[in-house]
Amino acid sequence: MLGILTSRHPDIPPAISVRHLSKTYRVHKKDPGLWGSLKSFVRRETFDVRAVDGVSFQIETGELVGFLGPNGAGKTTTLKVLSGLLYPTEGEVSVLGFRPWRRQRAFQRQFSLVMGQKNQLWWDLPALDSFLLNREIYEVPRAQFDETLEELTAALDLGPLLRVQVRKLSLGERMKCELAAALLHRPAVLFLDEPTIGLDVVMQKKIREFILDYNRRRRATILLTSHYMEDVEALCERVIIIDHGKVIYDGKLEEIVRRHVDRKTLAVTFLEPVSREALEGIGEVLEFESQKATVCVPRAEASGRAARLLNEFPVADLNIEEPPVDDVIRHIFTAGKE
Amino acid sequence: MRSLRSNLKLLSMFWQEAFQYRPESFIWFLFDVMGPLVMILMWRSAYGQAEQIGGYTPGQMMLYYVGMMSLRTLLNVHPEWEISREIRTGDFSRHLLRPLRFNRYHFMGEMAWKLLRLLFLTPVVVLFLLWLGPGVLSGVGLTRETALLFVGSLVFGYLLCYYLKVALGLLAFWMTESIGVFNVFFMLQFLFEGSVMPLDLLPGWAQRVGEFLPFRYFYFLSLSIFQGKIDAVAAQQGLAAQALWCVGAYLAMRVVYGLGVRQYSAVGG
Repeated sequence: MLGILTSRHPDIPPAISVRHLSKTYRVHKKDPGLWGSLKSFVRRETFDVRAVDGVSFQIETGELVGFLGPNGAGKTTTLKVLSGLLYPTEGEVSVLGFRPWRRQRAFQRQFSLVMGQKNQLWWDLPALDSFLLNREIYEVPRAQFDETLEELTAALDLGPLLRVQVRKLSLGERMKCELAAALLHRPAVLFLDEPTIGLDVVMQKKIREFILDYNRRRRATILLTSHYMEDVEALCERVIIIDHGKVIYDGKLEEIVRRHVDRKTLAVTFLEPVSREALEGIGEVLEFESQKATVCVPRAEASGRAARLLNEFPVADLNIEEPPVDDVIRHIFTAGKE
Repeated sequence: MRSLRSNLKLLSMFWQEAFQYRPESFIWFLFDVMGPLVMILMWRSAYGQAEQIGGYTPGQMMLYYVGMMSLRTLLNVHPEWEISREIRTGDFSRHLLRPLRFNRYHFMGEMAWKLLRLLFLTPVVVLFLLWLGPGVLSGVGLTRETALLFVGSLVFGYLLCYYLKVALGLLAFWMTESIGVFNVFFMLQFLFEGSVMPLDLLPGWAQRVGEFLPFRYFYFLSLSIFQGKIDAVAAQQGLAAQALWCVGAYLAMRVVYGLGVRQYSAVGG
């Protein structure tokens, strides 16, 4: 594991600091059926689930970090601790210098948690009403509110949506309004839990561009979880991967590919048909059509094998490619399980 | 100033929301009208030629039920349903994430619904008074001394009912299904709040049980002051007891909230 536990800027405290965080839930056990219910009524059995187990990381002000892991890995639990919804069982957590679970107003005015599957907008009213309520509860000065709303309206095309009842908006439109509601008080820290879940590709792209723009313009610290690798690739230079409650990787996204994949692929197009057997002398043939093929070769020998290919075959076009990041991540998760 | 503005905004939003559900709300309101209507019809035939039953003239008895209908409609709040739903579904988390406390949010919500109820109630009370005739107003027994105590008892009655119902709703932190406890509470409330009949007409033992419960302070005390059934001294004593219940209910709500949020934060929303 590549650990980034010390601040890169010793004079400036990190925006988020997590040390040896653990969170254990007590879960009730019940056998199925009526007999199970009766048994559980007489004697309730419980067992502990360690959702987060000794997690440590730091995030500097203005960083946009991807927080990845399979379902049940501990991502959302960590986000809930960071936003003050859960008490940690063990460990130290500081966000903007606050202990989140104390839920001080000064802290709450400086962060937002956006969960793709929950909403804070009032269902029966236009989104603008929820925005105006947020202006009051976050104590945003009127001029700043108007300016921010104008920016958000332009960036997210909210103009026609603001005066429509939230329940009449599409999922994508609602998500844009949710994001806007979460950003009206210009939070310094933003936790995004699956912000693009269920959205079509066009809307996903729009939300991604917006998040990146917000991060750059406001120097906001953003921690993002997503199952869509496109989100992570487009937004995050750094990723933290968590599995079974433990951090298994913390570092640059590009580094993960180098560290975890010892192979590259050669995608080649030929001028005339070639034989598969001949190609197998170059590397493992992953895909083959008469004039097109993908060949997998050891990373260290990628250039040599490519040169051989050029010399020995009638090559029209050749690309040396890294494997897709989501394949790599899937490989890491699978390896973790094994 | 800020919190006043956010309260007004909340009130206006809840009001808009309530207004969208006005047909459903009106149907619920009719439930509150039906009970007193049936009781008035029953008592009218029970009185026959009698001038008094249990110290109540026919006019006083009719006014009692009109008053009970009005106060019950305006003071009997129901935050417990929404709070228990929020806890069960995890929506309660929003109150822990933003600088707006759950209590203020629900308090303003209940106020908005009550304003809507006031709109429904006003014409219905006028209709009842037209039907029962002007004689019914002779049962009003407010004096200059007791008028202020009456207003005070309305405020404390509202708060007492609100705090107790919030505490009831917060039980969802521990219980998967709170409806059983709710029903026990509602049953006791129904028996001892005075909506079936004036509490001083209950059998002696039931009156004594009722004295140990908070329900008589929801609106029966206010109604007794309004009808002049108790004098200024008794009204003051009643108000003092009501205020004590109110403080107790507030503290109970805070304790249940504190313990509940610890539990919620320990296991997740």
